[in-house]
Amino acid sequence: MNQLPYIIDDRETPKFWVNRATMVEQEILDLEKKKIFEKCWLYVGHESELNKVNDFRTRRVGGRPIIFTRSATDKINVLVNVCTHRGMILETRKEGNARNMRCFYHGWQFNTEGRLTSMPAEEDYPAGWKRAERCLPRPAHAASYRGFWFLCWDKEQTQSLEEYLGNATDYIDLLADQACGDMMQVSSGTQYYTMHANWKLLVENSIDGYHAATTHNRFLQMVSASVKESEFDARKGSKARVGVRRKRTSLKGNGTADLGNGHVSIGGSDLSKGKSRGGLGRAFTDSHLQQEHMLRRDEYVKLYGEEWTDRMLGGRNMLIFPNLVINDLGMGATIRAFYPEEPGYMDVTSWEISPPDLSPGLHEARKSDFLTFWGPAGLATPDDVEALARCQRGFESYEIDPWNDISRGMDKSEDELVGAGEVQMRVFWRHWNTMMTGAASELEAEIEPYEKVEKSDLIVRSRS
Amino acid sequence: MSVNEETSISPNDVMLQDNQLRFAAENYLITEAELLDTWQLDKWFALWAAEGDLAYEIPSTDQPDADPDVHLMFVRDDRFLLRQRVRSTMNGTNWAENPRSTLRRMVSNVTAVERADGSFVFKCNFVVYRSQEAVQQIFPGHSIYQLERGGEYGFVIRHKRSVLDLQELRPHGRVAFIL
Repeated sequence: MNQLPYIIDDRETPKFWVNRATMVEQEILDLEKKKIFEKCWLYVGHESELNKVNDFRTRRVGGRPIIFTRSATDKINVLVNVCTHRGMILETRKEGNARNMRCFYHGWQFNTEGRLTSMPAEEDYPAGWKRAERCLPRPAHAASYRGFWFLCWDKEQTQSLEEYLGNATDYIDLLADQACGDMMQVSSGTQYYTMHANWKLLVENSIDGYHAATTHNRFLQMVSASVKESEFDARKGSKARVGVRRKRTSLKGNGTADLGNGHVSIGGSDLSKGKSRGGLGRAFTDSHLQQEHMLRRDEYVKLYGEEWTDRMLGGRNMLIFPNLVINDLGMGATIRAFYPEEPGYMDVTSWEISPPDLSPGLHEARKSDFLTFWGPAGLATPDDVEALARCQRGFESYEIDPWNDISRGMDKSEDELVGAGEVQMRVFWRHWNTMMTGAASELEAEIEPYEKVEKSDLIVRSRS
Repeated sequence: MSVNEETSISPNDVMLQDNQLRFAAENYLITEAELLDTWQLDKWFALWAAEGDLAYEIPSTDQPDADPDVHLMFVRDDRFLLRQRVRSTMNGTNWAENPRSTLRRMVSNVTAVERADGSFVFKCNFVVYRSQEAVQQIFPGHSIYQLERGGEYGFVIRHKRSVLDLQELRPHGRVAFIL
């Protein structure tokens, strides 16, 4: 194993280097599983994926098969998807609705609460054998914040989900509040794909504020063509000139917020004041849609005030440590969770999430705009898939030059930067390093921790 | 009505279909396949109807019968986005296809029917072999076309839906070429 440190966090020079061995070596992945994925709260799914009682979804979380269900009694459950009899995978469908799930091996049957409800020849079991002791197992902890469900496999975990999320709850609120007191809704249609790259490369990529200009040139060409097209439409006089003036959505730098526990967000407020959908995506070519968008904005302002509305509608990329990304770019929002299968291979699952009560036109525009950017056939994500795979290929030479350089902006405040900095990635890596080595850094935090907004003054939580 | 219902072809239709029309459809789909495999995407784009709405769709693998108004898909391009997709692939900024992969597609099981309104529905199965450096990937699927008379090759495409016959886009990871 490579004996060099995982990271070099040199505040004198200054420089921040990451050892590429952390992306390549199997021993490090094995350690990550033990020290990170076994310890942290991990994303399971969103409550709106289970709208009816007895709805279920199966997936893997932290390397284990789980069933995410809404029980007959209308409670959300996170169960281990393994028959307690002989250990076979119980439910093999990805999603469905069923009062009972039956293991086809010997016929043991469980309900959506995980209770063993029936089995052949129960009488043949010894006296004292109890069905109740053979319910489906559960992770050590499962909890939700505003519809986002997480589990933790670690019995020793002392932090509640809210404590673990820390200041990131504000950033989840920025998305969840868009439902105006209802529950945000995850769309049906899931993107199951992969990247031939180390999972931490997708962490970095998801909060990388400046790769867009080069990697996503294709997407930016599309945006500027759409602006031209809408201006052209406007000149033809058939439609009002709308939504074509775009401004930077973030302040100088990244608008980085260190949310604690390795969670971090970049992004800013909506300087267009609703005239564009977060500054990304296609320009509105339809004045009616633009109007609807402004009406929606007015509603937010009424409920939450100008300041919070601006933040809600500004683009943000957030990492919830270790492997959940919630990107809300105004024109749409994605939830993305990813797990390493091998050092150079990860499974990625992405969902779209929207307010449930958007007008059909706005909802359609949102889903369509989502696809212009995200997903394995969008105009941006495939380029990320490609870039990360090529990094991973490049890491084959890691013994020759083991260092990735993430020093950008280290001796400057965000205001002094000409472009976007990399402090958000350093926040991730420092926390990762602490968890892996067990030694907290003695160096002070590079940026002031984000402070939660005092919501009672600012925000009305729901319409009622 | 879903795309599938609108364009459904029963086994009986297949037995009774106009073989001359099917022959024309096969010629058309073979021509399209050739243009895609040889990256003549501008010419391929000219196969589409020149005026009015058009749609190129790939449903997500878990919702092959997706309704674009309800489900999140992989691709849902209108004329503008499809033109952008073609343009950026041709100008080299579609990084997953730069350098270009080597593509070869097989098109078969072609059915073709004319509808009462004078439009046409073609269906076919496809397999695309994609090779890039040492990696070979296979993309099996089927496509449903709605077309009208016109254009250089006798028909113009109004709507094309390519459904990947995969349960997950794994291990492929992406579809950055045109199916």
